[in-house]
Amino acid sequence: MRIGYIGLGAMGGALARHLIGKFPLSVFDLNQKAVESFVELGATATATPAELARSSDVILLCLPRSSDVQAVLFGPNGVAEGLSAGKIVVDQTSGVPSETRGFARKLEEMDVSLFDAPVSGAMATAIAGTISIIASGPDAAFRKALPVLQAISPNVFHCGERVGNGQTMKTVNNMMNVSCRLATLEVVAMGRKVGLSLEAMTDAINATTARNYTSQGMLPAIAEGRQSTKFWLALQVKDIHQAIGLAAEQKVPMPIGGAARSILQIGLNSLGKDAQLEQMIGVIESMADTRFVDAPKPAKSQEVK
Amino acid sequence: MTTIGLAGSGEVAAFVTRQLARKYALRVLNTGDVSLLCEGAAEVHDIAALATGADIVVLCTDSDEVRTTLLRSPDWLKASSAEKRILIDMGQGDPDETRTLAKDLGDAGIMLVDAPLYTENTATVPDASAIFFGGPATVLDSVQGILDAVCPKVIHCGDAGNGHAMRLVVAAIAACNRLITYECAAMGVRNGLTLPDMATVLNKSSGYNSASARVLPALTANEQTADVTLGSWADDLRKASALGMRYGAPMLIATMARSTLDAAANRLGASSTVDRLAEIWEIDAGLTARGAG
Repeated sequence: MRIGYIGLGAMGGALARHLIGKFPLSVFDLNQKAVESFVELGATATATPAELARSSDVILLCLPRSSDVQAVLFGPNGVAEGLSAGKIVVDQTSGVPSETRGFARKLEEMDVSLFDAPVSGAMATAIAGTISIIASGPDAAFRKALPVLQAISPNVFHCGERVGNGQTMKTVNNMMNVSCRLATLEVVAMGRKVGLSLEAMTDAINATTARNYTSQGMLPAIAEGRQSTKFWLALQVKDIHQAIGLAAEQKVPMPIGGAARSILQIGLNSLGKDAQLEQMIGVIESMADTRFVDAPKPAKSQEVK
Repeated sequence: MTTIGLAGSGEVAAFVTRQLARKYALRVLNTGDVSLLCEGAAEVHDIAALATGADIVVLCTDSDEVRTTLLRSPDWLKASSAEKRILIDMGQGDPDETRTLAKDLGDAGIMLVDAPLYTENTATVPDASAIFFGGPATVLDSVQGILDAVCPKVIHCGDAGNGHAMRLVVAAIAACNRLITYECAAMGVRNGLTLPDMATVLNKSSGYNSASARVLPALTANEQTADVTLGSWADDLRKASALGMRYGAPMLIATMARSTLDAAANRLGASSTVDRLAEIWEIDAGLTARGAG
């Protein structure tokens, strides 16, 4: 099976790297440096998405937004120009489910299957090959492409035959993660102001039904001075806007999700477009006028000065 | 055999009474409507009588007013200070009032420590419940057996008052976990996802929280996950919000959770369990059937 991968950014690059040596791999990205690094590892560079599609049986995409997927699939020299009956397109973008279903319908007319398979997890898990892949779409196409997905990570879920369910699941996951993260941080900030230590709070939260992904990962990392996330804040805001949009489409109230979105937006506006999600820790601290960890006391010599 | 005097009211007090009666001679003073009497417990009718016959006194009420009335009663102060008594407050008091009371009682020769129990489900206390102890480590050593009889997980949080503060932190985050889970699950179901798929994927991904791990499978199986009531949770979140305001911590999400719980308690009744929050989301999100397919 010949594989093509389009979108060699931070996440796409980490995912595609697992395919090297396991399948004949063609790659395409606007960033030539990223392409060259793959060529050095044995992949084949292609000049256009259309050329990549012509030389591949399964084409994977990992792009920032659904609008980018639309352009790469159906724009000039796009993937669609190189597709033929029986080929499979796997969209790993954190895209908009209804738009992805639209792409799938359009490709169906060419007898090409498209299904979504976004990923969920930290960058470290993408690199380690343990990230969660949340796929959805026609069973036959999923089964045919499954060895490719399993080469990226063994943690593959199939959430039904409806294209877009994987992206919806990822959106729900993002919203739960962000809402719990911000709720945990803001309440722990209150605890700090009342005089509790971060270590004691982390123990207490993780011993009870208050525990969550943030209390188990981010709180210990803050205490130890480690970074626990590596993700652009602007992309996190985009993901949450998408979740709020999905809720609004179906008339589902999301008061807590709305509050979480607003806090993230405050963070992005305060920190600027190049901010990282990790910097929200400082935003929550400043909103509560506290520190999660006491600043180290100055050394004696500094005190003298 | 150590004799414990327990004054309190409510479901948590009833649970604590039952647990302690298995191991200790127990005298109880009921300060509310729910009977605390159980096998092995003898009833007394005033706080002075409770203090006179007990080695250690346990207080278990969520009412700061009842607590203050009991502990500042001259009869109680006289009976307790004569024996340099240890008083364990296992209810949910205001942390600052606990600190003030601890100082005042300390001046009168009484050692007040706080050790509230946090649990969502008294039927499964060892799984995800804890007692948060505030007071000297030496006192914790001396009362550890009593606390262990109620819950095997005891966490030392610092000085008196810190136990009550910690319990409010935990209660606020636990409530947020549950409310976020219902809100996001409703959005998922309305967008075509099934509860079993969400239970599988979310609990193995970064959306995981304690509520998603228990509530999503329970919704599919129509099972209960908690016996804590909406009224009790709303009380906790009200106290947490008040603390946030007093100390200048915004807590936008937890404050919204407080409002949501008050509204739910008004709609469904304060004695309803928190599992019934699912009904609120089913109605408000327009879910005619749970997406269990």
